Amino acid sequence: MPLDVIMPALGMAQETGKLVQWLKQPGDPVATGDLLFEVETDKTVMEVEAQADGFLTQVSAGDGEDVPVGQVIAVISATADNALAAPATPAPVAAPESTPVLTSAVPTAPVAAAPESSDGRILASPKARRLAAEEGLDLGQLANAGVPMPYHVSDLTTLRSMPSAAAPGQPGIMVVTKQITARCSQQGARDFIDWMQADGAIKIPPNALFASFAAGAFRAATEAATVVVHVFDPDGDGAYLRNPDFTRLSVTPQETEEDATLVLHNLCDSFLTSLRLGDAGLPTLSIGADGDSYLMTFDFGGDHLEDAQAIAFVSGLARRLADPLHHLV
Amino acid sequence: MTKTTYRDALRKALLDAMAEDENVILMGEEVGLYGGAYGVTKGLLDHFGANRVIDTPISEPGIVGAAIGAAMTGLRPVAEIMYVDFAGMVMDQLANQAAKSRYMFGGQIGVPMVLRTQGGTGRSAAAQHSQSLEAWMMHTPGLRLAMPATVSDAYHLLRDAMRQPDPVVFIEHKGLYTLKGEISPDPDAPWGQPAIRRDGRDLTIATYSRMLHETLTAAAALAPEVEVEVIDLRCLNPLDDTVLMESVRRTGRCLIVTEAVTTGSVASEIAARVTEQCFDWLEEPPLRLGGEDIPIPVSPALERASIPDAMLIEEVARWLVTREAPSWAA
Repeated sequence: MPLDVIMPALGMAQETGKLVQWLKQPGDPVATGDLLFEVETDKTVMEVEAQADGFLTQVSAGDGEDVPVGQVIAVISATADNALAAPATPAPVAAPESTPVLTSAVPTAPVAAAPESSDGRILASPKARRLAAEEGLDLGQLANAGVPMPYHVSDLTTLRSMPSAAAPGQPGIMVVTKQITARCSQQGARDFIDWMQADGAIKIPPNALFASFAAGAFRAATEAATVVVHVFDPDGDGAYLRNPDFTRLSVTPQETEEDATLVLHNLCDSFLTSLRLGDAGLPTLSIGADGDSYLMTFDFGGDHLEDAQAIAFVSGLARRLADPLHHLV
Repeated sequence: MTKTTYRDALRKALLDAMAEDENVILMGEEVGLYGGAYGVTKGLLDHFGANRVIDTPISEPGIVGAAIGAAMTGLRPVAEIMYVDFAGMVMDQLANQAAKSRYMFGGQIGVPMVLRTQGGTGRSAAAQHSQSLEAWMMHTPGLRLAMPATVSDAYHLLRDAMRQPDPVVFIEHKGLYTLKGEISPDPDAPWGQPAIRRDGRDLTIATYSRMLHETLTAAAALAPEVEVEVIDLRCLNPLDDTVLMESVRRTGRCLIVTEAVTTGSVASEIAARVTEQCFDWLEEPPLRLGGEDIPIPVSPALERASIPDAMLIEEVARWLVTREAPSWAA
């Protein structure tokens, strides 16, 4: 069974790794434990070992290349055929202004922990195993990323920060696998807030504008009857706001005990630009400030909404923020 | 509160119990005129007379056999065997008579006696006078077993032992008799329950008797880098291990420190129970740190090297938490 070779996550917040050099050439036979390639992170250069026996094929990243974590860069196959196949995964494209771009946060091919294809068991403490099972985490991801065994609870922090690769259709576990990012100018929203203050002496409470616009855009995209937004800012405890888009902006929206439809992280007054905390598997939007722009990041799963709905939601939100009068009509 | 010694706390327990209950009697080699090999019973002969403080011939089976008979017929004897190493002499009386009688007579006759003795290393007393044989007792259903580590427990555990309906083997430590401390008004924990001697979040160390003090020294040296929770088991039978298991579930790691040889030991039993009851909470296997599986050497240097000490406990504990090998093992 062929095994994908992926760029490992060697640090907690690492997004790309620099492939310093291959230590095997395409078509070379490899054995489990052979040194395959060197990777440079922000801290160090590490050697990565082969996790299976076979031949190094389909090498899609060259020496010196920066590669997103999780991307397939080669395949260990049973034969030396296709040793030099074309790259299998396109590099992610940077998001242009105001244009939502759908990117996949996981490798296109599922990187299952197929124990029969690596050479043995995953070594982990009983406690780490139990917690991983309870959280639906796959310790095989750590193994595939080259994190040394045995795993302890501290390694779960690394695992949680890795893109989820749980098998599709796995019952009971919601997996956020898709991400949309967008950017728009802050000027429109600022002008609007100033105008409300000057013209109607209406002070818009913090979070209310975002919650209202997000709920409105979400309702427009999904035709949901009720939208409960769970709003966080980095210092706050969070509030559950029911249909904030039906509430006048001058009034603090009504809090509710209902389950959230959407999680919203307001990061504008912090140094954070986006975050993914796996909030109970809900669609999660973070809005951060980046210079004069708002940076929006939306994580969602296929079981939450269709790709088209998600794109419509983020587009609609960006349009509302860029020109708040859109929201009012 | 005034400080007293482990030895004087034991004497006070005997004194108070004898004053309260005239059925309490002492018997053993040199417990009367000489005051006990380690001075625990000094003065009690003058206080209570030769009918209640009985010097016996040098015959351990005779002492324990007589105590069993006395207990069966209504007295509360506290027999003394100078060294736990002589348990070999009395095991038939203990295991086949004292431990079995209440069961075999359908509860009509019990053996409410205490067998005081002492064990452990530290006095260069060589292989036949330095052993830690608590595992023999713990292995025998029907025997109760207490091993005090502190001055307060020396008093309270001995008082508790004298209230039990079953034969209690009470093993003191020859290295603790001069330990100074206070007798608290109440026991640190009920009979049969461990006491937490230090709180910590990174590692649970279970221990008892003199190793408690080595463990506390190690724990103090490890803090704040490694915060060790130290649990004094106090009683090995009965042993309500709830406190221990709760602690291990919090910390995810357990080290058991004993002076006794490691193979087939109390530490082995505790490690097995921790594995059975805390498996899904464990970050590392429970580790036993006990004495070497050898006869205790007479040379003071070798005797010290045959059992754990604070420095070794510190190194093993750090390794268990950080997986960083100590300098000598690197």
